Amino acid sequence: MGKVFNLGGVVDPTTDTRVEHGKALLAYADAIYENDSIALTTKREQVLKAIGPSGLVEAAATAANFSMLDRIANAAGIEIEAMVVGQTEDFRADLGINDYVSAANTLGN
Amino acid sequence: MSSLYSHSVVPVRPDLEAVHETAMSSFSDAGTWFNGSERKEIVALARRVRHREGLELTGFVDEVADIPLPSAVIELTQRVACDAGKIGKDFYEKIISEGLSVEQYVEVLGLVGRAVAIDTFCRALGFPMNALDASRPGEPSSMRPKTATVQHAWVPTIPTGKQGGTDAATLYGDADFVANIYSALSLVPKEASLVMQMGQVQYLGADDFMNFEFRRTKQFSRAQLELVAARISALNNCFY
Repeated sequence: MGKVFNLGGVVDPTTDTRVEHGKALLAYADAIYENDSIALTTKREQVLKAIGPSGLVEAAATAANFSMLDRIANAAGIEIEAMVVGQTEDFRADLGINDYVSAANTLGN
Repeated sequence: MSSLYSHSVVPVRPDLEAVHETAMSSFSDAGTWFNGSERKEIVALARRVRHREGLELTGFVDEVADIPLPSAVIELTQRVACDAGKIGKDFYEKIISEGLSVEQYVEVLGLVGRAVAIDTFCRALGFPMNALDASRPGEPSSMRPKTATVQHAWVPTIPTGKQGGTDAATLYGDADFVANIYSALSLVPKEASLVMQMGQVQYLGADDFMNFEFRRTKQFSRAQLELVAARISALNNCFY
């Protein structure tokens, strides 16, 4: 069986995700999204120290990608693929994801 | 001639740099429903509103040139740039009722989404934002894929497989399955193609989607990649 991660950390960064350097990566993602450039510099340095320069670039590219895809998904009104709806049912409510405006595109609520 | 990230002290992959260079260049080219100066203006406007919202873009230069844009384009650009998580179907219908075509709506999503991606990458790494090219002449192609139909989004999309005919073959290749996010902009195939190219390089390609051991570098695991992706999506209130 593969390693089990805790998805709760995605919506509550104080939760231990069990992902290596997860705390630093979550703090970096938050700083990229927010408007505090000083905090961003600090969090970037922490990620650089934890996973090195090539890891830092990959984390930045991932954040960039989902800054793009999330906007497109929300504004084009796309539904989640049917197979994924079932697979994610058990944790969506717990994480509060069903309350997003864009949930209506799939759930019709 | 210096490349886009030649100033970087961290190693930016050549394919990542190349896909961003292609995207930056595309913002000033004639598109499918907007000409080069209008496309450049839409991107410049998106950057201006993000900067004004307090999201500091290093070396920000306001490149808005007061090119006339329909008010619906301006409103859409602002919402997608800064507040896309609150866009509901009522907003989409309002924008379309104001005279913007669905095709134009889709092209704006592609432009703003791609521009935000590149600016986010630069901000994340402490790079200065990339300057836009001067707009290039040319008329929009106005090419609408004949097979596009409303399926799994508010906007029409090209179906996969036989239903999509040559439109699907051109955009998706021989793939039987295309994630809804990658077909979302297929009403404007040029934008959809550029988004897919960026997705493959910034995230991962379709062939690696089920590879949970995927790593581009040993310092960054698939679990770490998905953690960053999921956190950004949560911050953007993105259900998808």
